[in-house]
Amino acid sequence: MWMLKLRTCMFLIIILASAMFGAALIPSVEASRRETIIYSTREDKWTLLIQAHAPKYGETSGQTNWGYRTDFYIGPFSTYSAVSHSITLLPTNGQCMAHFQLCRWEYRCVFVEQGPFNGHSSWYEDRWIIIQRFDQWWTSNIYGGSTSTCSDDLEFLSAYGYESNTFKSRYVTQDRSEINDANDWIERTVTADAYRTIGAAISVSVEVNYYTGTGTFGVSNTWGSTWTYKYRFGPHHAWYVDYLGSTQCIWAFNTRW
Amino acid sequence: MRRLYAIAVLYLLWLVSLSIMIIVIPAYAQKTLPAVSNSDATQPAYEAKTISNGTAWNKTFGLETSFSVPSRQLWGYKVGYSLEFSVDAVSDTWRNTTITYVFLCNGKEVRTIVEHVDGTDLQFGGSYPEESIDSETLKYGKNTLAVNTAITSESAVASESSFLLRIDRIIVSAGSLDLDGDGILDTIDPLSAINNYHAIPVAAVLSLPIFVVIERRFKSARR
Repeated sequence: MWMLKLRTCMFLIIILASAMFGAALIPSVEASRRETIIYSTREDKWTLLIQAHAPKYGETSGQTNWGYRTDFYIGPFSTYSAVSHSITLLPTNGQCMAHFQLCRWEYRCVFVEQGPFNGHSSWYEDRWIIIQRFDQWWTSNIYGGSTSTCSDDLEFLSAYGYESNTFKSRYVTQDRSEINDANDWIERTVTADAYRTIGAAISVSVEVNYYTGTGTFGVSNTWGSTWTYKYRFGPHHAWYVDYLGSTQCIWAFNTRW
Repeated sequence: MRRLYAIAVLYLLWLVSLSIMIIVIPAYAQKTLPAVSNSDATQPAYEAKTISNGTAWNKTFGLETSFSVPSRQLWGYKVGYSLEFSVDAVSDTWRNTTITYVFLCNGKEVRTIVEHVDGTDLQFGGSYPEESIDSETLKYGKNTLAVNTAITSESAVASESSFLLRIDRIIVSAGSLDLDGDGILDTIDPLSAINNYHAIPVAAVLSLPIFVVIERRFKSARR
């Protein structure tokens, strides 16, 4: 009898200790999910980290040495990958720029089984994820035939033996306009608060050895202070502006006159 | 009855001492490790400027900084390094320029960064992600970190161009590493790559047979 009580006491102490130190002695629901990789293939890609556009007869200015995180959500299951970086682009006079890092992407076809806690179920998932980041970067102009408009900017590049992801960078529709009739430059400031999104939901597609996943990418400010970017417009010209993505921080331009 | 309570108290003491051994003492030791210091008061800023009217050019230069590790317990430190830079490249025609940074710590090559800069008009700057130096490469006292930089540039046709690479500073950041030296910031360790908060109840469960044996000893002694 006493022995039984003692062991009960011990058991209670163990449970208490487990709760105190956050130990997962009780199997979690997550543990009931099992994944099997059916097929995988890899390819090194120039992965877009950040892009910046400048108006013709204008410039984009900002502070360098900022901290960014680029988040990718690719495929029907929005598989997440992220890359941290801290390069700020400062294009001038319509000469738009993009900054890439060489990353190893992997396509996986995964068989997922779940149960018994949530009921038995199984399905296949297509996933595109970054599995490795290399110490190779590439900064390039991405203006197309003309620096007067971003409507022909490059959305796919290839160099040094690797291809880039395909990403949205072109001017398509007018979201706002800027007119500078004055003799001085005018300035428009965009900001993103500390740890907030700079650009979000910009279309991107990743092709890994002919397996193509579409999705979005976004850029976040990872610093504890407000990110500030200035679009500056030269005198006696006018422009149409298209916001790239769902925030209003990354602009693409079309010169009116 | 008292003996049984004594065993329960003993078990609690065991849990407490386990917590002190695995969490409290290492946390305190980790917190009080002396930090690595960068001994260079002035950082070696450098400007590599090239003005060319040809098709190709190249340039190389080296920079060096030093830092000190104030303890022989090299495994206890994480020394991260990178560099801050800015580029201003202007060319009449499309130009492909490659910057290669080779980092050497105490003469041993530890990292190579390649940055391709392609276009006609590019201004940008920032820094590269920090990486850590292996503890085997570090030494007690003064350490050196050198950056050998090579720039090559080419264009399909001869054109006017200017290229400015400014290295603002070589970053050396250092701090105490987790005590098991695996670089993984476990909740607090010294147990290699194991979350110590999870290890304690596991150890507590595994020690249960000891207390069963003690209990039986008491029982047989009572008889």
